[in-house]
Amino acid sequence: MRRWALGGAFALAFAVAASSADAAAWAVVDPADPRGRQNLLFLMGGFRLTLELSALAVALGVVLGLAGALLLRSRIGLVRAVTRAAVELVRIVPLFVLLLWVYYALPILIGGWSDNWAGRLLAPIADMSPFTAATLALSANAGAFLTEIFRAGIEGVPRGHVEAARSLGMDARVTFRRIVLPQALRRMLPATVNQFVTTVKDSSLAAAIGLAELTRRATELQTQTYRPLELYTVLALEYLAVLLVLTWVARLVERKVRPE
Amino acid sequence: MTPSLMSGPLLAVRDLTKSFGALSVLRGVSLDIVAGDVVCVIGASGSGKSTLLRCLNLLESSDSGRILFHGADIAELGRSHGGHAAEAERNRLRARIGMVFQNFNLWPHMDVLANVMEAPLRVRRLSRDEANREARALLDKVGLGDFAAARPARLSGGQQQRVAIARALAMVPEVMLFDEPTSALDPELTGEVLAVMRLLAAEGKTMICVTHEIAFARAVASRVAFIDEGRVVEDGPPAQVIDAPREARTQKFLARFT
Repeated sequence: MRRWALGGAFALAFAVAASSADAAAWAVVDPADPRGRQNLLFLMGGFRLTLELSALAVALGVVLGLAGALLLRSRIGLVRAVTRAAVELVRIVPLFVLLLWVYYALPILIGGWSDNWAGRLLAPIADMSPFTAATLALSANAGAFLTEIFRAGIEGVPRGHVEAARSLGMDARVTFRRIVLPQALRRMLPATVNQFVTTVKDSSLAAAIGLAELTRRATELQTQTYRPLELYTVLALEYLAVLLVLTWVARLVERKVRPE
Repeated sequence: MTPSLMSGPLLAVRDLTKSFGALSVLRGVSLDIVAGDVVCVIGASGSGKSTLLRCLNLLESSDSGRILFHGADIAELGRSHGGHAAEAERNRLRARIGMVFQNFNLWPHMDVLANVMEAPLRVRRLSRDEANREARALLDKVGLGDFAAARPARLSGGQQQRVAIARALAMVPEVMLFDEPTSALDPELTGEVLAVMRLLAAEGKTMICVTHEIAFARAVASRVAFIDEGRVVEDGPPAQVIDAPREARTQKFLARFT
């Protein structure tokens, strides 16, 4: 499947390149052309922020998701209700809107609290960079969806496996770590990889608040060169490259942990 | 444990009750289990047999009544949350009361040997070598020495249940609870599991066995308890309860097996 996707993408890129009326236009991203090489380097300079943002959002999302999944299983009803509300809220608000809200609205809100403890606590993010805002919004989003994935994974482990462990004298923590988690991880892996892929793609939204990641750079160059076909085709291939590597690694991991 | 306690019953259940919502499952069960006893608990589905076993090792908390283990009431411990100390005490008790489930409940992500070694490693805190040695001896005992490296999913139901028995034995429990251990098995596979249980009974292991295997109960049990509608209706040696039941309800139940 992956090989087909790869071949298809490149075939499409070449078809696009060959069929464009103005073949010389590809000079704008031609590595053989000095100007084109400079443009490519500029575009690919976005890899770093895209990868940093995605990796951070995925890592924080996993932490939030694990915490959320455990809180949803709390014995205290209020804890479950608050967690459930937070998860639903973040899942319902479109990520783009969440991003705009975190970047433009949240600092104003925090500024208004300047005289109380919450304001002092949050002061460091009152004047946040696009990168911070994007990380917050993206990891909250990933965390909310991963909460559901992890919860389903944990609840998918048969109750009898837990009872067998408890009946042997294993405490709740050891049972979770040794019996529930290893099985849950296997169950949640495919859905988790999906969420990682989604998060990498969604990091492109950060272009809208001025983060100079892949998409932002392509857009900026496009406004200077008026070459949307060439630049956005390269942009698509850039995401393709990142996600092919990610799904390839995921496949290796999946093969390694797959139960017999 | 003092000699005076040893002379009393290992487990004494007194007026145990348990309801699930409006459904009253145990309505005052009383039963004594002396060390070395093999008690087979028989009765119709839904009569409370499994719930009784689950209450005994505190997987389920009873509503009222007492469970005396070596003379000390553990039922109250099952009812209270009681913080970390109570939880630790519950875990220690469960380790001394082995349980074999109808559906085996082997852990599919571990091989057979690891299934048997896990609790001794984590709870008894044996060294890996000791746990390994004991686990292999137990697997030999249940006739599965050659399957140590197999995943549970590769085994037949009868083999899985024998592994589950070995896993429970690995904690060296003072009493073994069997919850319909052959009910999920194809008829031709029940024999191998019952044979292992016979072996344990012959070794003097204290066992409480919820079962529909009347022939097994007759041959192996030192006592048979017939439970109906949440109460022990009749309790005595198999020659009495199975072959010459006094109670009409026992007669009616057993009539289905002859």
